Amino acid sequence: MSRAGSILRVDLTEGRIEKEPTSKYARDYMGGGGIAAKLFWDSIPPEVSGLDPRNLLTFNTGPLTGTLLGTRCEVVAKSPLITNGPLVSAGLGGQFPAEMKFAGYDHIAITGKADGPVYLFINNDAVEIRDARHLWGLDTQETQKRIKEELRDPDIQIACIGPAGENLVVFSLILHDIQNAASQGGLGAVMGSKNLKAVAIRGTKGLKVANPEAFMAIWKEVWENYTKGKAAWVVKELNEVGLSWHYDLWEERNLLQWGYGPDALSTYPPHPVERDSKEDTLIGFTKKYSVGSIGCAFCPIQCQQNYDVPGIGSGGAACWTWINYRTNIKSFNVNLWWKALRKSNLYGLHTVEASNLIAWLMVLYEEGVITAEDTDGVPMEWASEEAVLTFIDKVSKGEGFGKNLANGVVHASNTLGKRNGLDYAPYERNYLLWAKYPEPYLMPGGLGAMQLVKTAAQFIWMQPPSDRHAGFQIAAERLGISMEKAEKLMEEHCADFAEKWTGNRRAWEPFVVVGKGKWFKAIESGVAVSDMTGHCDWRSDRVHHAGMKFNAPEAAAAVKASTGEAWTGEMVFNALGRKRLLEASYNLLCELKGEPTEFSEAYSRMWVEPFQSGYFQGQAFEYSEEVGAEYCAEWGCDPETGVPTRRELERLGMKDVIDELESEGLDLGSEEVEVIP
Amino acid sequence: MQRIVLNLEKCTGCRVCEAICSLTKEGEFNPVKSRIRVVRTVERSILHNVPVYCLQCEEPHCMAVCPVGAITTSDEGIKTVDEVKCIGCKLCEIACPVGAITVNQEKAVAIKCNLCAEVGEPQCVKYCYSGALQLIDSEKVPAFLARVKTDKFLELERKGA
Repeated sequence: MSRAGSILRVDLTEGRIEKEPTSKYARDYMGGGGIAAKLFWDSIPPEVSGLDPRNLLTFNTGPLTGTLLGTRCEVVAKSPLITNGPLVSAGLGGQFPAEMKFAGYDHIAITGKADGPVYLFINNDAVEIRDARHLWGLDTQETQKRIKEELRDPDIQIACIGPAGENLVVFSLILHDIQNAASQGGLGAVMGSKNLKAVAIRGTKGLKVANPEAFMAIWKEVWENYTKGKAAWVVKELNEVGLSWHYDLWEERNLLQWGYGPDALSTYPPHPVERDSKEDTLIGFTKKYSVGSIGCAFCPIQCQQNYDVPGIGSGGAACWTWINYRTNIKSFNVNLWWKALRKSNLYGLHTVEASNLIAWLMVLYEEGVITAEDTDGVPMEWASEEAVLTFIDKVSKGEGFGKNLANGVVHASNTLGKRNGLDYAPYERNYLLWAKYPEPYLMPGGLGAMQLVKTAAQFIWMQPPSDRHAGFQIAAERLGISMEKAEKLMEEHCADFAEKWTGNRRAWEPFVVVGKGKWFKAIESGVAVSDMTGHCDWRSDRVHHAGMKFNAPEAAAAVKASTGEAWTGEMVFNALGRKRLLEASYNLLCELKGEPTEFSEAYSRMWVEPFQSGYFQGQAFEYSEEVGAEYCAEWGCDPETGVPTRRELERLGMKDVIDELESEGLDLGSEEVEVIP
Repeated sequence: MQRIVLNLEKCTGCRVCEAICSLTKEGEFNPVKSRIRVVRTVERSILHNVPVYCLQCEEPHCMAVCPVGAITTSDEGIKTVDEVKCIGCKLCEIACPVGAITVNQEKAVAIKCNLCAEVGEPQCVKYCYSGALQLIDSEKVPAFLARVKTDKFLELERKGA
């Protein structure tokens, strides 16, 4: 059925290759990131660090991956970037995840460290660890090309690292095809620490569908929604230009920072943003240089763009890569952006963390904390092409000052001998935040969901997603309606979603508190359910303005039709609860056994002080205890501490988790509610 | 008679056609068993896609080389494999000029596109988001293709290329 059936386990130290059935985890944890959490809980001690050979690098597809309703896998490992190594999860799309399934594997879990550079070649049942000494040092594109050539099969799908991952840069990524990446959390370095250059897969087995008629009926409904329904205009926009125009609108509406750090918005340029030329818009760049839309297997949306720029080179852009190396380094220069993005993809460097580190250095340079001497003679001036490209080269290759920055902001500050540099860094446990950014940083598929519940609750602000503030202009254009009408339409989408999941139609509004915790849990559910099934979270109902419909009930119906397993919406929610609480519990143990951590002062200040200018001028992201408490309670955690409660863990049948947490001295609350006489 | 016509410019390489074809024909998701295949090539970080499917040749080589006469032409001009007669010898695979007929290894029979005769309309065309695949009356195909090329020419001229 649409489960491939096996988990492939590889121990690179021992050269051991084993297979185990997925079925023993499927019922409780469904798949994807859910089963990944269980693999870590069962076998990897929390004190293992990100670059420890004992760390596990896992590629996790879901039961829908490889079907018309799923094309993704979640790559999960203990993070080398974030202090104390909590689990990080990064979504990877393209052709790789479906190929994993066709080869017969739902999950791949790799531990240990090879003696020298190797790559893994999976050809259906045959799994081989091959020499990769000749590939070490090559960029991500050349690596894939050489492997396809030497294995004489152009249809092999490959996920690999570039020099950044080899040099253990803690913000390096794993790249597949042109621009599909498992980017956040430093997964490239995890792969590099194992001496693993690439995972190459070819599968020809296919996936049987339990009930093709039922599946077809679901697909027809999805198709109708994408082509004629509420989601049609968004699908069309993403398909034709990706997020390029969308992010132009963010910039034009002052929704993004100008510069970096807690005070970034106070220097935001006056509205509307002045650019050097029309070509400096992302949509202008797309219209001029796009050679086509690209994306993931079996998804009609193809939301990414393939560019060919004469004199610079070709490559792809997707998702957040469109807005990095831009406003945070005070630049609208599309040529600079494209050069930096291309280089990052070739080296295998995460553009978000890299561009934030560059921006942070630019702040330090401006404030006189560092001079050009600290950066090998290159002045870290705002919008400087030399500064940006030198940083990317040196960090990825481990040269000069780049070596000091390869371990993230805290280590960089120490080695630069500029401890006060951290005063300018809005970081949390060694990863930098996207400065003041008017969207809740609760990115449930990624770092956010992996947080302790309490920490995640702190990420909740009373703010609707900024998508709404820019998206309506696209809606107006696409639907041929007025801006006023389009904005109203967007608000109605938000209100419908709020009513459905929280009971309060107004829960989406910026300063409404009632139902906000539930609202965030519902959005998070749409994303997390996508991560567990292999569906894409962009096609989930978290993008609530888009009219997409995928959440737990829809997931249950699709997985039931494809696997024949008896899923209901409630069972999906329970599996999701287990995933969420297991990740939270595991990360809690990582914290307990690790070093003490806290939010940086700059980080805290950023969220408390009101915006100085821009769209949200005068407003502040006041953290509401009430919202945080509601959110924690929704997940079955203590409203104050965020620690999973005994009652919820028992309800979900997680006895071993209760024992483990209690043996660490945590109070999980009593089983029975005490009746006060 | 109708034909599936490809406007290559429009194809994004999403492979929905492969998925829907194998689901319709085999009840499974398996590009290997799809009657249409998207050949993907990445060169210099640029993706090239070419969907390959049976063009319903007027003088089909597959039919000519078949030793058991398993391939026949329907009243609508669709070339169809008789799975009972087929012996899975793969001669048709070798003979086909475009690579559009293959042998299903499990069933040991040749598989190829029959325009979804059993369903009534080709599912790959129905679910082609970009409109790269279209079903056109045979006699209108030349005019259609001429228009596709002319539109491209006009577009380039407008761009000043």
